[in-house]
Amino acid sequence: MGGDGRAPVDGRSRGSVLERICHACIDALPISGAAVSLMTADGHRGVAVATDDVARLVEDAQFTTGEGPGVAAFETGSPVLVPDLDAPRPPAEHAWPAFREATSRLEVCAVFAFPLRLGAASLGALTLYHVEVGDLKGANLATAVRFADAASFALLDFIAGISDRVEASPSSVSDAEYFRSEIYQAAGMVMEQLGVNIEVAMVRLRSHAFSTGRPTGDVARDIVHRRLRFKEDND
Amino acid sequence: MTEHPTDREGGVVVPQEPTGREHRLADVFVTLADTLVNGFDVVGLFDDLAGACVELLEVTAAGLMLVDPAGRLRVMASSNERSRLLELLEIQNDAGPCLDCYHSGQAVVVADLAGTNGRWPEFSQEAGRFGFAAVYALPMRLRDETIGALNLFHQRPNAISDAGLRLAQAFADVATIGILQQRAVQRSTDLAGQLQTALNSRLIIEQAKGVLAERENLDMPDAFEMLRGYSRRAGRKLSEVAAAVVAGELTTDDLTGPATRPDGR
Repeated sequence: MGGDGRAPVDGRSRGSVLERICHACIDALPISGAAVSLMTADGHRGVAVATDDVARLVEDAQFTTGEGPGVAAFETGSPVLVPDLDAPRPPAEHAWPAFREATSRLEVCAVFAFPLRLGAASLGALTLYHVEVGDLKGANLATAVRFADAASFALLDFIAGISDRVEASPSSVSDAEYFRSEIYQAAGMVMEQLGVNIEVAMVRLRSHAFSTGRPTGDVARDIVHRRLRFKEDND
Repeated sequence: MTEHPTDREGGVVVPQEPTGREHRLADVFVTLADTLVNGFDVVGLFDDLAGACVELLEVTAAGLMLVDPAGRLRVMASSNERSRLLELLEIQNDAGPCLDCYHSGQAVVVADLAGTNGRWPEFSQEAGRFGFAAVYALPMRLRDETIGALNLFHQRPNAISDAGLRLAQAFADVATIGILQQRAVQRSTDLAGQLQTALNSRLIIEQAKGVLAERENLDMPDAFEMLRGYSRRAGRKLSEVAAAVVAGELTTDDLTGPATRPDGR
């Protein structure tokens, strides 16, 4: 559990939605720290939020070596759960020799990572670490998956550059509206209209909703009913 | 007792004419078995089940809902892709037979919607506008957990017999087994991960519908039909086809042209 005195990296106390989700993970789950990173299919990576120095170093190790639990979660689209990093003979897909070398001096015994995606839009990963060996399963795993869902929406906002300006609570981020099918249909249409990939389309949709002060679902409905089209020179 | 002819190996040859319904019922279970052998497509299975419910249970419409990590019921498949039916399914997150079914783990049988005005006012009103007189919600149960619900609608009250309800529960159970089958495909052995994959697959399909609707000027049901038609002809998983469309790997010509199945048929 949390409360082991690690200081937040940037001094802000639980400001953004992503930060609050990461701290909520520490409060609710048997883990020591959390980080959310953006990732793209062509290898661009960046830490969005880390709850402490160790979490940040774990992310840096993943970026430097190009391997690790968060990278694997992003690439496979499935959770990656490693309850004991030092267990002998890890499965081949968890070998990560360079990552293990880079994190060998960190007090990290277990890692659990979740892909952050909205349909086919792959945005990044949530990586949790624990200073003790132990599983994340059952009700705890279900809670972690729930946090990952919320983090996906929050990361979308982060990428769209709006999360710092939105004083939303975690529950409003994982609002029922974010799963409305029209949002995903509209993103597919925007993809075609702008000639961009699905990640960019989701970000543009969310940005437009925010800048016009409308719920994303309403903008999506207008697009699906062909009352609104995105053109190359739209925002 | 009628004597049945035997084949060369001495096995019994089944009479040539099973009823159409028995044939279709067999189809449903063969489809499930097929997915175990040939690689699993949970969204495709759910879509097949929704259609099979309408055909075999003779209901007007059917929908399959799965619960997400936050406890919301989300539509995985429906017999009819019109947005009004989807909304009728989704509205039950506030109040409705599916929500009650999910919370109680028991079937909710509303043989005559007219007699329930106080219970779910908004849902009943919407269902009535749709012309539905009877609603049934069957739980998707896994041991002591309910992971979703099968929702059936009929235009006439008292339309489904007890035998029909038992068969409907069997379909809901097939859907639950389907979720567990992902275990064989994903390394994850935990239900939370399996449910999330299924739910995310549905979102990819929605994105693919949008791509096709815009590109070909189709409405959403027709866009879905284009995906599904190709998936069946080419013998490819529905979720995989959708992902390929979103990634730009399948063009409209690919989807509408002649398709070769992986097994060459």
